[in-house]
Amino acid sequence: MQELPSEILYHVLGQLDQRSRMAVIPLVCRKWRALAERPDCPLYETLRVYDNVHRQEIGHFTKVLSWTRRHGAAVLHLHISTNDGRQLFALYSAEPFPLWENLPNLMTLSITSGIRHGIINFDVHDLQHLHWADHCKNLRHIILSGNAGYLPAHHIDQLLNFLAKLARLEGFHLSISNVGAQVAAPQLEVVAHLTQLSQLCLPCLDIVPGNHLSTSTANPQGLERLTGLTQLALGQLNTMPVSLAALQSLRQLMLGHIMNGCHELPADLRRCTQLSYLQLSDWSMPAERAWQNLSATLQTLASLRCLVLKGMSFSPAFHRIHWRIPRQVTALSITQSSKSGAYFPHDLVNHPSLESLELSLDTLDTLPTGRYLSTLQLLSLRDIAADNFLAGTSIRNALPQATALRYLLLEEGRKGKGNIAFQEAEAGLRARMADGDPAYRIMRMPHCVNQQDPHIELQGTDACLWPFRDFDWEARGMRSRIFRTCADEDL
Amino acid sequence: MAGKAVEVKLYSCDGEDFRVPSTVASRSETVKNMLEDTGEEDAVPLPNVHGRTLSLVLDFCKRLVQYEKDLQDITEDFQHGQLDDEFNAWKQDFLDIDQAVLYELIMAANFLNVAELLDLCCKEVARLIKGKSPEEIRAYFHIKNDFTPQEEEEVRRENQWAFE
Repeated sequence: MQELPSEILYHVLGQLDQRSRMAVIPLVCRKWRALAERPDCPLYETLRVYDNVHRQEIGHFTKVLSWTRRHGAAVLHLHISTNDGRQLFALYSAEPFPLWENLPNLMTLSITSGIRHGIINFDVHDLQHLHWADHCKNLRHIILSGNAGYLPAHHIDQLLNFLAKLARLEGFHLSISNVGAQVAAPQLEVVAHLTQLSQLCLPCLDIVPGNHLSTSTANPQGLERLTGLTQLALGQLNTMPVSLAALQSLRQLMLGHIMNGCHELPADLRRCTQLSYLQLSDWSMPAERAWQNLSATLQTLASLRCLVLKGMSFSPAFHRIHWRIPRQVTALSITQSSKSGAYFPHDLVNHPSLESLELSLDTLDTLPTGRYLSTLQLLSLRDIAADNFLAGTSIRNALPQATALRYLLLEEGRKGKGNIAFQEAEAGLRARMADGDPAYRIMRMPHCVNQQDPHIELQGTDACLWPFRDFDWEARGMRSRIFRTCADEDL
Repeated sequence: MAGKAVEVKLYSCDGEDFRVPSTVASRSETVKNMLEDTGEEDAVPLPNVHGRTLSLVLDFCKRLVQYEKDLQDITEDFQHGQLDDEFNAWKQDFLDIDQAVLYELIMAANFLNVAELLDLCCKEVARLIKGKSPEEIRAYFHIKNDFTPQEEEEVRRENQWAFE
């Protein structure tokens, strides 16, 4: 063992979990300790610090700090997860704060902070106290989620300073997500200072009119100055916030849960000619005109390849218009529609080049036959109630026509009767296929809300077949774990 | 039709010689490069590798070549999993060797540059380490504890948070 060269020992030790790598390897002998302390040691490239115990004592992070004195140079990606921001607060309020000095090569910083009942939160404005930008020259990706992403309006000056620092960095990726409801109104105009930013993710921001932002300023003027933005995700805004005219390099747009301010897309969406991914979630558009506009806009977006409609309410108005899925779209996902508004895009039946299709079967138990089946490579059927699934004849009729199919994903529905019923359904499906085993792989997923452990993985190039970013504000995460390769580029 | 597979001759450091198809020998990047330099007729001397280790390496390469050939031949996707299972079972048997042989195999895989074999062996060693305390690791791998008690205490203190 001791004769093995260092690079091989690294290869071996890199297979261990983080705990063993940190707590065991340096304690074995001097040689192993020296390996662990090399600044180019590959074992600590990604460091995850969890602290999810309801503990009152402060000290855990102090130990982390002491660890980084010896090992910090090797850390490239730091993920901190805590449900008590006080520990972090105590750490960074001690001056001078040395963590950043110890992490000269840091590229990614992710902070997830949990509950905020009467605790001092780790707020985004506090980051700017830390002078991290002076030390971490390579830092390009900051992810703040949970209450770590709390944007306190009363600290707007500090926030501006902080963002101004980011603005100097090219190719910066800032992600602020899952901010609790009812926090102070975020000052969205501050993003005006982020003109270099290439990705922005602000799901679950809650703009409360009359609180800190008047209705008129709730439209964040800042966004239109982000002319280089390629990805934008906004959610739980209570008014349509965006004028999109300036965002002409936008490639991916996700708009979720626009509550009551606006029932249609901004008309200037059609100016985003490079848009290839559009996701709308939790919208209701009661007006016929809104649907018509959406339909017409989609037809003009020549680069659009992936369209995701999730939790949409397909109102009676929708059924009255002449709705057409654009022919340039190769991936379509329609899931979790409301029961009354179930919808199968019947015009798809003759679609010439659809590769990926995702539907939820709780509201839909039909899968029509047609030309579209012959180009499908991935078919994902979600929220399947096992009984209906077996009973439905349309699935059995349709599948033999899907000659190019490589993956059939079945996700057990909320109303499913557990794994046994589902296995029966799956077995029934196999048994009823024309010639025994089909050429594609049938993969089963547990329902994503209840299950954490994915049973299946699509890897490598196969993951390219999964174009639907899972941006479910509540239950997201599951899908990105399954489709690991996609998750890497997830916002 | 392709002719009979070209055979190449490899010499281990203890003078044992092996004749294997060049497709098998070429799984070693090192051998492949040598063959490209000298041509396939000349015997390739491998002064760093003992005969019994080389024999194991070549066994692995043969099986790997077979596996990849089988993959080419399958017509149905589900057979993929079946081939994987068979290959994995074979690897299990293959790794039923002494620790000393395992290290020799790692060194040989490293020198001969057979990425798949190196990876397999490293994972096996990691499996042996997993779940063991520093004391158990020292005992299992015959590693001498060369820390002074003060040093050991210091390292333990530094890395304490990872235990929690």
